[in-house]
Amino acid sequence: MRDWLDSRTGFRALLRHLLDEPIPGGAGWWFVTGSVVLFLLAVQFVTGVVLAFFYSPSPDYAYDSVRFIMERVTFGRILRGLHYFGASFIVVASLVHMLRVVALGSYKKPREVNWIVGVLLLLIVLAFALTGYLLPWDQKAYWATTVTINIAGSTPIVGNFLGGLLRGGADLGALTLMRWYAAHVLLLPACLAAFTIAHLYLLRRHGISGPLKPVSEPSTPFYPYQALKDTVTVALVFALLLAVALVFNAPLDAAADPTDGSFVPRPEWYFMSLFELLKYFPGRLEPIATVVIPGLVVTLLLLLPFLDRRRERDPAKRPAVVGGFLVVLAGITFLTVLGVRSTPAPASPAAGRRPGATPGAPVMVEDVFKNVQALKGLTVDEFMGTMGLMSASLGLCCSDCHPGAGTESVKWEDDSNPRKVKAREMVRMMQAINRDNFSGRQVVTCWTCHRLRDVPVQTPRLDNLYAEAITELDDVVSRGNGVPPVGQVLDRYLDAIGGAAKAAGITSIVATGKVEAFGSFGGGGTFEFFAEAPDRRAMHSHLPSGESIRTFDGRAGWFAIPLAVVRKYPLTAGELDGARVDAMLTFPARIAQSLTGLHVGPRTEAQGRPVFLVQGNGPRGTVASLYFDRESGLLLRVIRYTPSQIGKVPTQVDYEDYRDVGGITFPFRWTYTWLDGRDTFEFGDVRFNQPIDPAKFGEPLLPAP
Amino acid sequence: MPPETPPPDATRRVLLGSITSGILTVIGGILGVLGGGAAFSSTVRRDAEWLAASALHELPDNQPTPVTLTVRRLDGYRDAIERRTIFLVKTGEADVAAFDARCTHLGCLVGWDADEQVFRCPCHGGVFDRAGAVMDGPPPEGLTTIATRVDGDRVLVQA
Repeated sequence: MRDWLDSRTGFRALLRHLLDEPIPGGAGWWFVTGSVVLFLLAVQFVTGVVLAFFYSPSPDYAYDSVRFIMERVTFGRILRGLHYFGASFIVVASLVHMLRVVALGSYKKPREVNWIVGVLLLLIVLAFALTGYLLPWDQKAYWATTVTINIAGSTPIVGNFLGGLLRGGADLGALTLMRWYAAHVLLLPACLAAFTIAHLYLLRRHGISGPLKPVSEPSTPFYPYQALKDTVTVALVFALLLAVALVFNAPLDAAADPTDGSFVPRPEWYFMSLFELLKYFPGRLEPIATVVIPGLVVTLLLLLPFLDRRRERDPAKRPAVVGGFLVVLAGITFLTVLGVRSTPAPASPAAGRRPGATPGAPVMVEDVFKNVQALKGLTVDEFMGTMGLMSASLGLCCSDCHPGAGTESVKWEDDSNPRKVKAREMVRMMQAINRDNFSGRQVVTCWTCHRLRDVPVQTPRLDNLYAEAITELDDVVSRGNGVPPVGQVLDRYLDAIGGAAKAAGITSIVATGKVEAFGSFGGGGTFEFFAEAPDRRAMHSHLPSGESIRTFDGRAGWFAIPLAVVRKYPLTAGELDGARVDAMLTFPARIAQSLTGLHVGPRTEAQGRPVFLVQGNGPRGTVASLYFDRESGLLLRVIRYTPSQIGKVPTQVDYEDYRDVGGITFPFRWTYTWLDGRDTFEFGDVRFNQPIDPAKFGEPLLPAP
Repeated sequence: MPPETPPPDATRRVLLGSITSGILTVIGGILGVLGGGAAFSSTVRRDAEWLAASALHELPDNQPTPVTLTVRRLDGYRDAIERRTIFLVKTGEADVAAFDARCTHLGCLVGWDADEQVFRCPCHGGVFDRAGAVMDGPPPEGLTTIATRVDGDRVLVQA
């Protein structure tokens, strides 16, 4: 079999060529360092592939997936430990390898190109380390990357370009994570493989440099003599790495929180010297630390074989090179020690997760409502969406089916009203129509037939013959004809509210005012509004019947409402996505980044005025329509649609009464309409860029009933 | 001129080679066990649960009724709402049979053809009778039956 394979592939000759390289006598243990680096790279590759089985490169799940690896995956803790600590081992092994090459003058003629390839490999290894530590999406990842990107952004001339390239989007977020992940698992491995092959090829082409002076010992083949030395060293290094991975947990901070000012960002130890260097070059001198000094070190390294061209290899006779190298290394070590010593002790492990950032466990409808039959298996917010869709389609309110709804004596589970029993049948009928005729797509919904009627109209009115066709737009509109480009509409809006610069300067909004809840059925009260860029928002309404609160903290959202079976529940699925879109759209300068596929639809009207309709997509099937006044350019209405089991759930906000607040034109009347009601907010006091207690965006704390 | 490579000491070479291979095999084995253990750790089949599928009085006699089961499950690191379609057939006063709607050929969802009184697969023409047995087409076996239990008016299925 082997003979057959050899005759077809020539593998024996290849093995001989690879393994029988003559190693000069006396080479020995000095020359194992390269193999150690190569082995550690292989460990990173193997552990990296397995980690990629479980890792999710999105801000929503990256952190949870890393926790999952640490806590639930068999050997996951050890594998992540091998990968995490392995990165440090590689940096150390690479430096030792480089030190050996410098000490023994192995970079000299004819090995100059291999030295350059080696320096580039070191830079690739550092790039791996840099891109790798954003991936867990924890506090350290987020803040260290923020600092890194800002350092790149401070580069003279090309800073903006570099910062944008590394960030991928307007802010550090999903696009950044995807970009760094792609670099870490696709781009850098390809570069590493290519340069490693080149490094090994050049090594074979010129052979190893061997001892400083030829010794009398004969040369021996690489295998098994040198190979055994390499393997023994590799085994020792691996045993050490495995022990570290077994004893210590690879760190995982709390989930990334862009608002947590208490976190002190510190990079990994191998970048600590650069971090520390920044302290000595403040302000305009910063590029000296970020670009000039590191650039100079790398340039000197690359040029080393051309600056030191003598044939002499004995380190004792090359004091300038060896001394210079040791001085740089000592400087790096000194700065690293200073940086490490100025690092505060890590937060306690209990910091695990920021309170309120945890997406609360979904509350299932069967757990809280009795007698649910046709709409089982939904979360409470999904269920409320479908209920609202029914009542809004038929023009009914809750009490038309549920006796006593809106009062404290409601009996939600009561089936005595035949209308409620019929509603169940209708839900099943509608689902069957869509399943049997439209492959399950929601083509037919309650609204298709009912149109605010209990019983649908069956016969066309002949009065309407030759009448104008109903021109109601579809929920999802295509690009309109004769409308301006979307950028122009958005720019005009920014101009109308005070200019792009002013709009971009809004980082938070704090407001108070009066609210009329549920179209006056809920009574009048006061409200507090909080929003923080890029995606946190909370509306706290203080009503006679209790607190009505909507919050979204960038990850999780909550809804609290008085006089309901479930006083408070976490948002899930479409409602959570919708809350995110609402929060992001609060900041006018971020509209373009909040939605994808933005386009201007057909000309239409809103609030009785001609408008430009701009539509875009949010996460997972969410669609948002923004209506801009054609005359003033101001935003008059936002409708966002989120998917549900029986149709799209619309939520509409109308903006009116624009007034000037410190040079920014802000709407002082908001009418928030959703399927279960309509609240009107009259703003009184509006302030921009105020600090906000993060708890305002978290789970609402309600008084005990 | 470097000295000539000496004639290989075959026995020593084999011994050293074996030690080298042995060490590398151990290292490879450790990495293989760690990686393999992780790769297979999440493939363990989850436990089936009893889920309420329908009210008994709502099921017509002997007519397959499609029901969508919605189950909240932990999908790795995320909570997932999983939806799955099954057919319930009321076969007696308090007896209900249940079939997985996925065709046993390649997993498309079958539909109930009330005119012909058969299940039909829209993908490759598989046909099953009311009891889920193959009548025609490529499916290798009948529709997968699902354990059922009737508790009062509630029909529970194990899925």
